[in-house]
Amino acid sequence: MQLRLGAAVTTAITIAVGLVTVLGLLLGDGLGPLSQLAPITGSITDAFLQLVTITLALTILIGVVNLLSVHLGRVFGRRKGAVYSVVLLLSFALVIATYIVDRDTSMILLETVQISVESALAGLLLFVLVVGASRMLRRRMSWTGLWFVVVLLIVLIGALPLTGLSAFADARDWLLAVPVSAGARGILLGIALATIVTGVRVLIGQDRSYRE
Amino acid sequence: MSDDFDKDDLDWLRDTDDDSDQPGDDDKLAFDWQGDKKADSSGKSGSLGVTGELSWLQEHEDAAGGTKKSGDDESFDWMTQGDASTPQQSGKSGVTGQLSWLQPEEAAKSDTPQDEARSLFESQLEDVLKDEQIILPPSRTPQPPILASLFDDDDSDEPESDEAMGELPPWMQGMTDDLTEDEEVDLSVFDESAAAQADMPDWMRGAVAEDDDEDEHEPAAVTASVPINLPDWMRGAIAEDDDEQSTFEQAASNDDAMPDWMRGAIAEEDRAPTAVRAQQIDDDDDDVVPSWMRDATLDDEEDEDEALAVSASADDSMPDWMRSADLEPVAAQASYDDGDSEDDLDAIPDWLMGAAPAELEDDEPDFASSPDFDLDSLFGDSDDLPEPAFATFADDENDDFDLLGQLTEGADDFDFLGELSAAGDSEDAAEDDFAALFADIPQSTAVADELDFAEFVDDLDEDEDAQPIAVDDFDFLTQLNAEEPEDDFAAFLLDDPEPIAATAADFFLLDQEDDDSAQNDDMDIDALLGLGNFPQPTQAESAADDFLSWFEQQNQPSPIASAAEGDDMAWLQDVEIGDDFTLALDDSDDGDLLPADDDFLADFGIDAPAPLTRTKVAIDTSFTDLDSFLASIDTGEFAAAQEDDGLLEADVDLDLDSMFSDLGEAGKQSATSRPLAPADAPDWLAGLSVSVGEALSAASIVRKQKDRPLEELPDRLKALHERGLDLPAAGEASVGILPIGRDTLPTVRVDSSTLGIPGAAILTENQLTRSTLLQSIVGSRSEAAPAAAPTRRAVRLPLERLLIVALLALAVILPFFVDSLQIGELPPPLFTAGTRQQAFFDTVNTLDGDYVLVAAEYAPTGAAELDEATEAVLRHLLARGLKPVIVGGNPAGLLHAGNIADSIGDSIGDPIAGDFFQRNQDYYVGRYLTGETIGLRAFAGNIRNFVGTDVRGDSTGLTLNSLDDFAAIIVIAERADTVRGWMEQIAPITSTPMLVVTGASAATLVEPYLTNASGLLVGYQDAYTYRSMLASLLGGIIPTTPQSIPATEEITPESTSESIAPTPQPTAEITAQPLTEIPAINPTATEEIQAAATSTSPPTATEPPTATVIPSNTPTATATATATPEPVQFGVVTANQRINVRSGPSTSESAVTSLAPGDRVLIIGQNEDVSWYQIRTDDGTEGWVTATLLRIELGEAPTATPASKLRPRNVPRQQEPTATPEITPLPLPPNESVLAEITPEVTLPAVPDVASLPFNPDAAAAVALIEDTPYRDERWYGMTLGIVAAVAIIILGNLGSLFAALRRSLARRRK
Repeated sequence: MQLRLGAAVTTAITIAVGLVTVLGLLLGDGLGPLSQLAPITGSITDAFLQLVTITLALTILIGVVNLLSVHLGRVFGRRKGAVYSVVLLLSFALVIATYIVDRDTSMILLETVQISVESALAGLLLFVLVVGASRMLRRRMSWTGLWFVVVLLIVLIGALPLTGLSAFADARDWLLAVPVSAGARGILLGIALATIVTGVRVLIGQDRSYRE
Repeated sequence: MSDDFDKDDLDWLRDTDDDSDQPGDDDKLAFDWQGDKKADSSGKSGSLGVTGELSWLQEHEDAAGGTKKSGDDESFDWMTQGDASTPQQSGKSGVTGQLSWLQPEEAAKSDTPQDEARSLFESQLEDVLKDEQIILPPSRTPQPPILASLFDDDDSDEPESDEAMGELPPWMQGMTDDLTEDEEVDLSVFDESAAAQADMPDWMRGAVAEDDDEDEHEPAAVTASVPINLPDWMRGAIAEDDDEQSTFEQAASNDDAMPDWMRGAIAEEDRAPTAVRAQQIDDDDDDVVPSWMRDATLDDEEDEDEALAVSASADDSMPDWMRSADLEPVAAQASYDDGDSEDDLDAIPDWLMGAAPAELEDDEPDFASSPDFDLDSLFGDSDDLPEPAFATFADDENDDFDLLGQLTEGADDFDFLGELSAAGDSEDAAEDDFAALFADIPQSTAVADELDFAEFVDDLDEDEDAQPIAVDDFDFLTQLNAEEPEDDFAAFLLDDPEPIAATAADFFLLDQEDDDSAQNDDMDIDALLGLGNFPQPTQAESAADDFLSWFEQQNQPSPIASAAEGDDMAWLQDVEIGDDFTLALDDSDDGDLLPADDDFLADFGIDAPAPLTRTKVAIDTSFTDLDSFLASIDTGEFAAAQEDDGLLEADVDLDLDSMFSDLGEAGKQSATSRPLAPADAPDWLAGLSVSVGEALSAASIVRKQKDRPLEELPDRLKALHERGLDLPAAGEASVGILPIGRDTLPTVRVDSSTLGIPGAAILTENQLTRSTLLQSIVGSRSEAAPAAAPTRRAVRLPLERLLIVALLALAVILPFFVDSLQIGELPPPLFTAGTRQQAFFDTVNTLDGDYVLVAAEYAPTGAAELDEATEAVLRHLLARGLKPVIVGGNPAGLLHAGNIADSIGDSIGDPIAGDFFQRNQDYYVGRYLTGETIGLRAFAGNIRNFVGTDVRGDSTGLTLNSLDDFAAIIVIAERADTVRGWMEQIAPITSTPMLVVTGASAATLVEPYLTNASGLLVGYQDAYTYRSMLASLLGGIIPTTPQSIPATEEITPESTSESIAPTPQPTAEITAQPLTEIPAINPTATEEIQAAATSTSPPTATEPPTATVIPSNTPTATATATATPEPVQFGVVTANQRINVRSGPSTSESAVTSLAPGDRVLIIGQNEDVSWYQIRTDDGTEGWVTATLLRIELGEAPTATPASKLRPRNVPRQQEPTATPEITPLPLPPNESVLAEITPEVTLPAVPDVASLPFNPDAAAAVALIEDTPYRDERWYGMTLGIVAAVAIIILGNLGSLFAALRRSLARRRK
């Protein structure tokens, strides 16, 4: 059996950092003698967290560089879709230039282009969803599909600010408060459990996905 | 591995010629590639070839390996025919290296007429060459496998070996005897058996003479005699420490060739098997596989091994050809060797897990059963060999050897080599040497820990006085080239000019003539190129009849001499081959030679090419390397003659690329499905009938899928796609195994997508299923899909969809223009007491502090819904004199929120004095928070840094150190996860109240996290109400009140969507309550308001299209104010018994009175957490009642009584009200707006507030002047009508479907 030094080192570092971070987050006042460690571990934890945030921030820069390189490659390689790459690169340059010259102009671009376009695209979801919902039973007639449509209609009608629809409103409130909320909490519980399991696996060295 | 593989299934594979009587032979299979695993504990997989991209295609091979493991002792009889033993068979695996089990089948055809024809052809060729004054070396007789057989410890070989002993040189016979008897081959056998053989090559003799019994691990001395007989590349390694360089000339007379297996070990990842196969090509008389076909298995490997090649190229002194050597898969596979520990296996990427060789399966049961979905699970299972195709993309670190590094757990680049060599009994695991490259060689187990290249040379050396070679990593490569500054292939070939001359001839002839593997071993180019039929000295002449000596005998110029003169290829110019090198190729008059080959091709489902015609091949002797040499050949008629039959491309510039490419085309055209397995093959093998190659390699599959965006693919598939881009075009596959710089030798291309030709590989049904699965993962369409004529789909107008879209659009837009379509009711002007919305408003309204943290956590996609709430909250905060500090985890959202704050200041800015609210003075736009939840925790621990500078990088001047320094934290989030992050990471570590604003879609998911929240706003509806309440407080905008609802109607708090504000009674006289809490406005603000009030367009609350009745304030000289009769809150006792009214908001307070069930009292205040209401009874008694016992209703204030101040405020008061406003309501007609005139003395409209108005006077006045968002109501009505339309569409659409289904059901019943 040969010693995998690299694996041992990386795993040890990961576990050590994880434990220190957990201690830093958990330890506090009221833990007796352990509370004396709180400032130390807390500081170390903060340092680790800062490193993480800095690293993640750096990835944004890497992403920008990668974006530019990819689209420059498409442009100079005259590959398919090079026109869109040209638009992207020009937009990038325009935003940078306007921000340097006049920040307000840059903000105008943000508001009039990006915000507006993205909002409009989000609004288009209405049409897509309605078309899909109207054809739900066309694809396949099933009880579950039928039930889905009924619930959808109840929720929508219950949201209407019209008089005389209080029954639908009550049903909607109940649906959102009981089954939907219960399902949502179940999902969140599952997420929490999975997070705990993953954390423990990392701390005990069972999960070493960071080495891939 | 398939331990459960039934060995009986392989009975048909038994070697009928296996006459071995050694018991140990019985458990061996005549698989050439088995020798690797057998002798080397590494269990490295053997060959890689055409299926390099899909190494799982080697499943059948691995299955055979499993059979071997299970103890099956039989060989494949149909595979091992003739004297050519298994090693010899595998020598052909230049073609079928991936399908080595096929080689015996090919060998089985050895006795076919093709061989006879070939013999005839050879004899005729000699005649022709003689006629053309081409002098070829003496033709050779089939040679035994020699070293190749040594390295294959498959005991089933021994009969053949024994049989071949007669053909072996005497010195080799003893060697083979020893080796075949030993399970673990040791180089010491050279001592015992071969040292005394006089005809043994000198360089080999040195090895034999070397006494390595005492200490094999010490670097042996290098003698002067060794370089003499070694090829140049070998000599270079030794010459560095050798002073007697002059002996090179002497060496020219001897066999200066490096054994094929050694070159194969260097050049190929599957080293030993390939080497063995390479020799077999030469030795097998019955080899019917055309040489060009042997290369089929070599394609697709080059890409896989780029990583190693790149790494190797880092060594500048490394020969070019060595840099191109593909070594990585060796490491990838060999790393299994030390897979004894789980750690080792854990280090192996998932994709490799499924490729665990059988040797490891028992040790690592989890290895193959990894539940992770990855490509190995897709393509590989425990039966699969390692997948070199995925080797490079599987690693994410992009180091040259990061994959290897993963396998070796961070060892140095070539540490894995040392580990490989240390496999088995070795204890010196740290030794990094070239021995790993030989790890597949069986005997490496015995000498693995020291078998580096130079040491091996030392072992061969008989001179112990020579200085040892320092071997470290790849230093030997440097030494290899010490004497060859121009380390190109041409220079390398100088040692053996014969292949160059012979290549052309053999190439055209597609000859399968055997040669002496011990002689024909320069880079094994013949095997690699499939041209391995160079005329070579016979075995009897092997000791002396090498090329150089042949040249001497023929009085030809010596290549060595040319090299010494600096002109590598000059010697060829002097070769007496004349200006026209003419070959007679199957002229119809000369006999039909090639039909034999045709038959052979037919066996592989290929239409045989038309008979070759006599072709003149002119040689331009001015070439300087092989490439130019080949290019210089004037194909002339030859090419033209082959143009039509598709075998060879009629390209004037004949090169191997085009030729082999067209060979592939020819095969492709005539490809027919024909199982390669013989009729007596078992079912599992008989089913292998699908060709595969580049067309079905994993990388190409991924590359060809287009219908799924690349961005959506997992990282591994992306990497695979990238690799696919490097693959050759469909139908072609480059030979990447050549250890030769590609700039030197043209790339050989062979077809790999056609059934039955060498490039084809075989897929099992299981593999096909996996391939299909991969295609489905990546997408459903393939570029390579049948390029049928594009069918033009009739353009059908989606009327239904268009109708739906049009209807919805109209429903949303029309209410902006058509009043009659403004159906429904506007959101309520007030939140229902006790709700989270009311708590939100009250919390903001009562905040005590300077700064409020506002997290703008929404993207532009949520702007339409959340902007309204953001603006309202910011207004509220600014009006109260609080300073919002805006941060956000979404860059665009953060900038957008900053713009909203800017707009508030801009809207009331003075053109001269500037904005009323200044950035970094009245509000702050902080930094972008990276890292999501982790970033939040980091933010909480370092507030000062995050708010010290703003999003523009300017200093904010804030010195906040803790979250507790904020009066409140308001999270405006589009997604529930964002709220969760704040509630999990921030809320527990601060006592600052948390407020949440979110969209309607996330509200339900957010609900569980609101236990620590002090308030919640959801969507546009709550934002609307919030704005209305704020406007009421500020007096700028008076909330609308639907007329349709009577004022006296009791409204339940549950019906928030239908909450109805009471309609004010215009004719009633209402005495506004004293504005004891209304702050005075400074003169400036007063003037502004006054100016507005006295203008022709005083502030009005025009809320079209609803009928809004707004009592106007009558301006009076006595400084009275006209107060709007605002609805107030009443509490109705819901308890079943009398309840106490206490003097304070606590049960410990004394009771001042009591209330009966159903009593209605006026709500005049509430405590911080809205758990107690301060009430006033009809008799004026004030007290506190717990909130749970009251039901809140809206109503009209009966009398104007002073409201008490509930909480201390820090807002300075500049002026107390000086007069009690008198309200003089005017009888106004409904549906008509009335001007509200405000006297200069009254700064704000009186609001019957339940609480005080803790506003900053200046800020409040400024905010009050902000124009409200236009079309607020129209937007609401548009939303309402849009929902109605959506409901209608959904109902109609599904009803139609329902009826259609019912009708069909009825129709079926009727039938």
